[in-house]
Amino acid sequence: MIAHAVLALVVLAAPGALPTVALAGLRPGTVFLVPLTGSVVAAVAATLEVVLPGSFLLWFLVVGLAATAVAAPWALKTVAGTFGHRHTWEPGVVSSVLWALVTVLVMAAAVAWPLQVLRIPIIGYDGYAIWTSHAMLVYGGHHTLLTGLSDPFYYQLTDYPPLVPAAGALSFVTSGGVDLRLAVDLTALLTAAALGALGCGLASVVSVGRGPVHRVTGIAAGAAVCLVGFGLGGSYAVSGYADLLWSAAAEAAVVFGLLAPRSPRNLGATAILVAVASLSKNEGFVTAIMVIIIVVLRYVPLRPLLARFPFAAADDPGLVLATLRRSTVRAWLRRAVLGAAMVAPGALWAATAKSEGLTDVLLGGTSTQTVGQRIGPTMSALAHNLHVLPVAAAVAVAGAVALRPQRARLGLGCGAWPWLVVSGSIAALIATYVLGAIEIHWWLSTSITRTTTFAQLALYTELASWMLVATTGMPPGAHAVGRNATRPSLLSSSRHPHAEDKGPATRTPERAGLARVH
Amino acid sequence: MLTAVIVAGASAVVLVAAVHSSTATTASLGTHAEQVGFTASYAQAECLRAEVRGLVPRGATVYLGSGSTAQSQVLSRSVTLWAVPTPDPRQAEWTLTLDNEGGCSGVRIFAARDR
Repeated sequence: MIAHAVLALVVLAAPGALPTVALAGLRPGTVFLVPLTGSVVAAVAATLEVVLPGSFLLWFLVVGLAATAVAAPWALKTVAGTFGHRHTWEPGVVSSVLWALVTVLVMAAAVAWPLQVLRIPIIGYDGYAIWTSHAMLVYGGHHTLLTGLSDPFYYQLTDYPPLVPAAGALSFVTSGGVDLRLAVDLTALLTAAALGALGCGLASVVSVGRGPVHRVTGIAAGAAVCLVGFGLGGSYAVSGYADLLWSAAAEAAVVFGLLAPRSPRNLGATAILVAVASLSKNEGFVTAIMVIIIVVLRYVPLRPLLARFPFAAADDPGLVLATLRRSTVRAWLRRAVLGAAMVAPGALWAATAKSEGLTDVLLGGTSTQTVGQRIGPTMSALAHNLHVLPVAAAVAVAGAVALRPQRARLGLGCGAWPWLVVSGSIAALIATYVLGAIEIHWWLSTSITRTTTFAQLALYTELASWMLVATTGMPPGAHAVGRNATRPSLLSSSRHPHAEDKGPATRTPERAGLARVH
Repeated sequence: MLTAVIVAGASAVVLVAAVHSSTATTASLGTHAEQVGFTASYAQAECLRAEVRGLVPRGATVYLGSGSTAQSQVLSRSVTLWAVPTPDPRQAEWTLTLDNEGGCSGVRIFAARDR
């Protein structure tokens, strides 16, 4: 069984290798991102299988080869940029490679230990009723898939995104037939990969230009969040459910896109992770959109474009207004392009589901309970599952008041952004429960521990990030520099000390026309 | 400095407690999965899928009952990729029902030939 699961994972990861290197570069997190990118390829293939004739394997090969062909030049350039100019094993290079290796091994150990339970064959209710059932339909080819998804009497929640079913279908392809256990195992492995990516992202926050103690603290914090993630998921993490998978991917996207210093590599990792979240579950799509909006605002702010204001022509109000309008329009266009590129995989499935009339029984119909009758139990269940919220909020407020210079020195994003995502996801959750049609007490009892996984994981990650900020310390004289140290001049050409993009193949945010504010 | 110690300390304590509780949860996953029926669910799913293969020929058109009931959904999952479900009993070659007594964790599939 282990051999079959490893083979399925390798085949799934194969088309993800070059696109991941091209987007996210060579870093510890790449090891965990590769199978996730492969699962996005599989999900896009399953989406095409719904609308076009052909087998899943055919579309997986087509999409995989296309993604690999497009990514190959950039991936090779990245590899050459990383290793090409290093002819000798300099101490700094050896140290970086060793730390990367340690990071990967520790995260792999943290996410592998919970997978021991897979020695016994298990499957959860949704694991069979939704995910592996849909996987069988995907495996069956275009006609079987379309017929099955169009029949809400027999198959549940047919509008759910296809990433988990597609990965399951690929495991059936590699094993030569339907094997429910293998599909469940592959879902658990993808979940572990998402948590591993999250752990590596957190560790990378203090990995550049820091001493061994800080690096060890970063790796320990990343491993802790991996272990906590599996604890939050419980049995659902290993029995074929998609909740921890999308939650871990979305939170890893928050870490790479909103917490870590801005760089094209972090943006690339974020793009992969939001695609995974949005193609894993409907809640993941909603949360991914929130992450994408804030990431786009962070990476393409208006202010630097306004800084190109032609002061010499300030006497001419018409020219000033025209310049302002032009730069604003240009910024919004860039935001739209970046946002559209990141949301595309999830939106492709959403549009396909809509055009094929696939249904969501959770939101359809009318409830016999009033909003008042539904909101009380919903808030009570949320409070019961978000014990960590008050502590995380208190730490965040204390950190925001007292540790802003440390946070800025690390080049981290604004502390409010992760909270915006958490608040938005909780608000979406409340709206779904309150406006939904299913009897509220039963619905909450069967789902609230799973639907709050993202919020809980995000809050623990928030705590871990503030712990890293607080323990990183501040060098002598940093206080004297004050705010100016954290917000360098827009005209300055000096690079941020923690910008991760290095080597000739990469573009700095400045060169890419992206702003320097965090 | 004091705030940094408090923030780091509070965060570390909560994280360590969460790791402790999580590792305990994870260590008992096998037992828990058995308690909530995930091991039985797997055994039942594979048993019913095998049973269908002995009851109706591959590609047969089967009627699984009217409407979206728990029974029809269990049956639909069991016949997937083997038989073809139809909502119209007149088009079906076989009608499948679920009996509450049998060797698949307390249930079994009953097949009746329609034509």
